[in-house]
Amino acid sequence: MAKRIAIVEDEPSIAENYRDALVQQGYEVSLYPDRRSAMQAFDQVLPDLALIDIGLGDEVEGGFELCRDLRSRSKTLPIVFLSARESEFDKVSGLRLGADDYLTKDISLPHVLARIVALFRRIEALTQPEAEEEIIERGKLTLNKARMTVAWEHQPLDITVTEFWIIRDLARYPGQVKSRQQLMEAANVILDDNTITSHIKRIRKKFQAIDDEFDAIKTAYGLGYRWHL
Amino acid sequence: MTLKKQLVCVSLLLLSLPWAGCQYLKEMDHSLRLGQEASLKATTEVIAQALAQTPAALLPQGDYPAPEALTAKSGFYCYPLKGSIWVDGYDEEWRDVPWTLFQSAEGLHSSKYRCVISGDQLGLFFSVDDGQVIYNNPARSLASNGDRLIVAAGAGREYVFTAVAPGSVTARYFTEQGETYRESRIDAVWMDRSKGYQLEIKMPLSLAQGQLDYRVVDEADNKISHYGPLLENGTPPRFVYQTPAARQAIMPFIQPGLRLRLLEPGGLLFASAGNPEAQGSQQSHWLLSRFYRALLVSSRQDRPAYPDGVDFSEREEVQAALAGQTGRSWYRDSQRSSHQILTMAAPVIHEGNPVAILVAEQSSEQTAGLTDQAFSRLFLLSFAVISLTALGLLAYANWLSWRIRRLNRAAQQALVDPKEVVDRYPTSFANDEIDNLTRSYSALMKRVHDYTDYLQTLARKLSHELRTPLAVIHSSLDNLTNQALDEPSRVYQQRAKDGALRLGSLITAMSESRRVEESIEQAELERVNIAALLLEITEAYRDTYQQCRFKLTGFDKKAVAAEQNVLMAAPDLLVQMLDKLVDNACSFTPPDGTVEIRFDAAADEIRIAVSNDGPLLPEAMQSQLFDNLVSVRESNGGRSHLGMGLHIVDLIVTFHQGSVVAANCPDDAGVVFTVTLPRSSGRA
Repeated sequence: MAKRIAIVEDEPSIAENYRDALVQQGYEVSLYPDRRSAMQAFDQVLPDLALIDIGLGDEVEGGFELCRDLRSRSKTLPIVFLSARESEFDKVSGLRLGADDYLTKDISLPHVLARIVALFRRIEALTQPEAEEEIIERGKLTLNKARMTVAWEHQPLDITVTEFWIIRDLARYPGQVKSRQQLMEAANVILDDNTITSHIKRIRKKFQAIDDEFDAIKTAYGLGYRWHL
Repeated sequence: MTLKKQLVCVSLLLLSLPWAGCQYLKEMDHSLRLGQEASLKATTEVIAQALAQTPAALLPQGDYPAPEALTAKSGFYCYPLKGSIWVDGYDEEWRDVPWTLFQSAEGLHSSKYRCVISGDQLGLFFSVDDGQVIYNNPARSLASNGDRLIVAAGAGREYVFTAVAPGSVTARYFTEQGETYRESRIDAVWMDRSKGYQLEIKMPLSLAQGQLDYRVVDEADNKISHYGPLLENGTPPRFVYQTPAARQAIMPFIQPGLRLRLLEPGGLLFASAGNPEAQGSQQSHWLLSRFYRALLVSSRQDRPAYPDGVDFSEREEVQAALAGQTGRSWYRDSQRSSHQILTMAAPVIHEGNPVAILVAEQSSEQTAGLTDQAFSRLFLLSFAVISLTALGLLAYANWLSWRIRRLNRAAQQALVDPKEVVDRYPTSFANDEIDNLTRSYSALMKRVHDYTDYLQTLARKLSHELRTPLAVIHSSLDNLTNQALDEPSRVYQQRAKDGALRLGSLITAMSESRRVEESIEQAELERVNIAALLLEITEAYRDTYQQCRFKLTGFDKKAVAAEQNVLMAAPDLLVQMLDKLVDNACSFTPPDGTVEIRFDAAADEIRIAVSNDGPLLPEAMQSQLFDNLVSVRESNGGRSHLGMGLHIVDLIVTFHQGSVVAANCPDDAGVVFTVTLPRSSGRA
């Protein structure tokens, strides 16, 4: 059965382009131009994944409202923000509201597709037995590729898909310096260096929340980052 | 010149106030003098007329020859002597009495005398130069041989003094019949002195009979010569002395500050009373008084000094009086240079003849005292007015310049930190031009600020607004990839994609500064070894910018870990800052040029200097270099400069509470950017 994806986007051209691309990948896509119509539809049935723009018509933060609403209905429903806004504040707000990822609109369609696939895979992996999972262990770090989960000293970290990919790329070859460009490619995003920096910072914080002594991610000034065992 | 100094200069004009006051005082002084002259003239004339009613008092006692019988210009003057005359041939008691000199026309003979009055006694003291004194030989005659001195009195009487030896001599006279008589009422003593003799005579005043003179008879080499003021067979001039009667006559007219003098028609003084200085007039402070007089006197220095002496005949006013007019003169007081003496002379006319001349003298102090007080009041008043006005002006200037300074400060602050200023423009309640200027300034700055703000947010807004249509293009092109297209269409699709990607990166760059600001907001300081950071990052730059040579100097590479190289900082931001500086440096460096990164750890700060060869900074734009969207140098790479790099550097440096300075190298070979980071960052 095809996965159902709901795109809530007030810009019809984008919505339709995304729909075309996703339909081609075999997804079932429904478009909603505003929050009200989306909510009406979600009252009937929840989609398998929601792609939400933050600014919806007159509602400047309609997407946030929608996200909160959806999250209250389903803890597991993958929600991805897709916005022209690129400020850290919006990103943090979006992720705090329980979104699984935050994409800016300059991301390319293949990247969007890759993320959607990844999200679905994570959902699936969570429902499957653990035996089949591909697990990378680096010291205290445990990385579950299929479930896209990360644990430090066996305590799970709450991370986004982008963060998972960055951690995985770094941890796969400890000691090797990964440039920001490489990390971007690994995370299937086109971001500026700065955003990678703030991602790294956020990742470090998440680890440090578990372990004060955490310093496995080293900065190679001017080059990038490396995983240090 | 500051506003304050300018106003002080302008207020110097106030000094014209006392100047004008002084001019007025001079005028006043002048008219007061005229008034004084007029009143003194009236007084003098009235007194002269009053004196003319009692001419007897003015004339010496005894027989008095009619004036026309005398030579107008001469007179035998006798001074009053205090104390009595002691006839001993020496002149101890005469010391204060002035000599009257006589010299013969050929200059061969000279003699001098003193004449005094003491009570009713007349004293004479002669000093005669005589190379060879020949004494009287009483055997030949009693009084007509030997050196002798003849004193002529009135009524043709001539007393002969001749000595047989030094000591007492007897006065003798000849009658018309040629008989010789002695006059026993006359005491006389003859004393020799070197080259001459001296003779002291004391006789009753009455013997003079109103006329007196003398001549010397010198007998030498059997030759007898007569010489002296009195010629042989001449009429002796009037004998003039100060009589108590005359003094009594003028006494009633004396008033304070008035001196009256009576002159006989020949111009010799015979009565004097009073004092020209008014006593006890209120004096202002001596300094002021001196100052004031110096001010007035400067114009009167040319006045003649007051002549001392008893002979007034040469005086201008006396000559006018002799001619029958009232004369007037001003004299400088020879003792007190600031004082003047006004002299008025009027003839006392009795029965058509001038019997005497009345001279009235008054000091200028009479009026000066008045103007002096006016002057001191004027001085105090104008001093108070000037001080008050000057203080007021000064305060006003201070207030004005304070307001202008405040405005200036605000304007300068606006240049330094445009965001802070708009609401802080000084306002005042004075609804004047400065206030208007302030308001206009405020409005202007606000508009400039809005505009700058608009410019700075424009990039962000643009990037935000452009992102959605760009997303449409991107997604459309991505979708097109999955469509069956012929080869040329693929090429075009690829080109469109490339274009869209470049557009995307441009938009990203446009909002870069905003993102840096955001990351600064979230930045946290940690201990960073700057030297190690530089070492590491320079290696990276060597890879990235192959066209430039990098040189890292300023520290010992073996002692990188030294504590002095450590600073509390946000390493990511520092790297970003260095990225921008190095990118900037490399883009202006000619191929194979050198970029030098210099590290300098001082006691309280760390300096990082990035210098490069290449074009210099234009002088005009240096202050704006670190503003957003400003690009001042010609790049060599043909890459577009949005002018954000250095603005980001500035943001990061400001976050670290440091400073960044751009300057041309001392040798003008290129440009150096120096970042100074303090060790004691308040955020640490």
